[in-house]
Amino acid sequence: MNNCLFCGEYLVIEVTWATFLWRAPSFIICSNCEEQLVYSKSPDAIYFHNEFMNDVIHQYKFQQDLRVAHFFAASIRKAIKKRKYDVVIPIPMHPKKEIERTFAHVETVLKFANIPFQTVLQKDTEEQQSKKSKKEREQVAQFFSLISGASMRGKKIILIDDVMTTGKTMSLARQLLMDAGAEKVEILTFISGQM
Amino acid sequence: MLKLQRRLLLPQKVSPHLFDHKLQAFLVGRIWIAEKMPFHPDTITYHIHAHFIEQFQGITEKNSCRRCGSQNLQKFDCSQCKGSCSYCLDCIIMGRISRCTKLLRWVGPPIHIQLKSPIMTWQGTLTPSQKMVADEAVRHEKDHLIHAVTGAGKTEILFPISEDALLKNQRICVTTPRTDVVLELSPRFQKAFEKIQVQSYYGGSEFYKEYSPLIIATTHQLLRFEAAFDVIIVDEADAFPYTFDEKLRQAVKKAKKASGRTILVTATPTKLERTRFSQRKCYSFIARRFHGKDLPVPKFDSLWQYDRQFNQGIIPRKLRNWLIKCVSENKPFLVFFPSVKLMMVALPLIQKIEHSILAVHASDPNRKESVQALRDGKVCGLLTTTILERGITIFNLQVAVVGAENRIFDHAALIQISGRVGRSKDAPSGDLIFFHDGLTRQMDFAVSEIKRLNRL
Repeated sequence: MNNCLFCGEYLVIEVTWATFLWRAPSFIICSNCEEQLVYSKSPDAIYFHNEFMNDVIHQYKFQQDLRVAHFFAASIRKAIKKRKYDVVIPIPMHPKKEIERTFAHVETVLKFANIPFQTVLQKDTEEQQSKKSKKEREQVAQFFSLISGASMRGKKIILIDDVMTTGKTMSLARQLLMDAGAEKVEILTFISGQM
Repeated sequence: MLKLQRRLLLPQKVSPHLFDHKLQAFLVGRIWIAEKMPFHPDTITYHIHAHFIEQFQGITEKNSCRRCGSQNLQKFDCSQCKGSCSYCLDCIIMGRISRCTKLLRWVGPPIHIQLKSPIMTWQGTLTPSQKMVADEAVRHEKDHLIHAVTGAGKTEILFPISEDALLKNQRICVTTPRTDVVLELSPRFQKAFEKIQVQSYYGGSEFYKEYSPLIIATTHQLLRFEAAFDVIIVDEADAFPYTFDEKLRQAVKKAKKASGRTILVTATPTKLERTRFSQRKCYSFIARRFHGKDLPVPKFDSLWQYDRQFNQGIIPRKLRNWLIKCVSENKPFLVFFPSVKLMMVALPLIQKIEHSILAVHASDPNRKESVQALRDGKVCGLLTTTILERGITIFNLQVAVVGAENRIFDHAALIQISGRVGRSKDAPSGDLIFFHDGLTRQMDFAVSEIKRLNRL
């Protein structure tokens, strides 16, 4: 594991007391790639959706390279410390799509980050927001529903997703949870960008 | 249709003429991910049941990738396998292969294309020494090494060899490590064999649905083929970094048919290769360039502390004078740098002499356009890394190497760089200067080797 996670460049690892005493990191990034990371100005997202981030998400979701989950896990571990909440809820995939992709991208990141979460939402359509135009995205009706037996009354919730573009997915999820009696619904995404 | 359905229920093989020829043309020789097949899944299912196609797991029981042979796997929790699964990290760029991925290959009847002579539409003629080498390679039906100096016309020698194989209904692949070389060779081969479709494969290229008996591919793309080729011509076998040598050998072995042969073509074979092949008399050698003139011999010139000078915003005087001379004499030039970093520091300084000068490197997406611009005379010169050390031909080119003492310039690289000069009959020589901050054995060996080849 001596290569940069994103560009594959061979890196010489500096052995320090930190790496020796504590667990070795599960990924490394070269300085060239690190320079291309742009942090989001919005408090609800970690990174800005620039071209580099687009390649990262492509490597994760479409090339299906799970190692990228470790990168987002490290980022979200830091970001979530500043928040106060009762329960973490990931935006789910349609079960068929999850089998096709062989993993759920948001939940895998939370697992690697050791952040406990509850699957309270389920997605009722196989359609993907990412494949639609701006107009089409804004026109969708509710495609989430609550899993039976989940009580959200009075809870402070934080919703997690990978990419936020128009914010439609998040607003539908938040609507559903607020209607179910949640006290507060905040959001946190790995990446946010404009259309 | 009913007849077909009844036949499927019987445990016997369906008669050989009941298969889709387009599917055969696509899949024969290839190893492909089932999900990514450009055919209807029902068609594929039929062919599997009828034993024309074999379907198998992406990762073998012994934990190696079935496509590239690597054991560099990443474990993960798979929703499809409902448990532990793993995928190959080495060839993920060509589409992820995990344990649950289904791979396909054609096990039905082989394809038969009878090509009628004349197949070769190449208009040129070979020199006597080129013809002799081509004949030797054709006559000797096993593995062969063609050692030809830079500018000997290696590509032209490959034309009659390819024609001979095509007439025997064989499938040929010309493989090379660099995408640039694939892009340079493909149009030349296509023009030389206009009657067939010459396909080219490189990272990001489209894949063809048709069958082609002549394929030009980067070695990485060879992994998409298995037991496909009767002849594999490995161009510039020594261009691979040493660590990938073994992977290259395996990729070639896998893509070749069991009865197939490998032809290595290079200007700088390793000593081991030379002895091994010449012992078995399957070694051909051309010491002369096709135009018969000597190989240009590099001159050494000191450029003390060039590194520091560039970082202080100064172009070292000797280099500056050389650049001004090339620009005023209107001769295209290449300046080789040992690193992208130094090159990018030098670029703005050199652009003050002539603003059209550009820099190219391995990750440069405009590389092809920049080289063409140099060829067309729109740009007066290029700064480059070793990416352009081999393969390209530019009329009346002048070459300088900055930092020839750097480790990256081993004797093979220096010989190849020297080979960029004087490739045309009407410009058989040119400036060839190694600017250095100290002499190295590699530099000396490159010069002595070039002089030795000229004496032959």
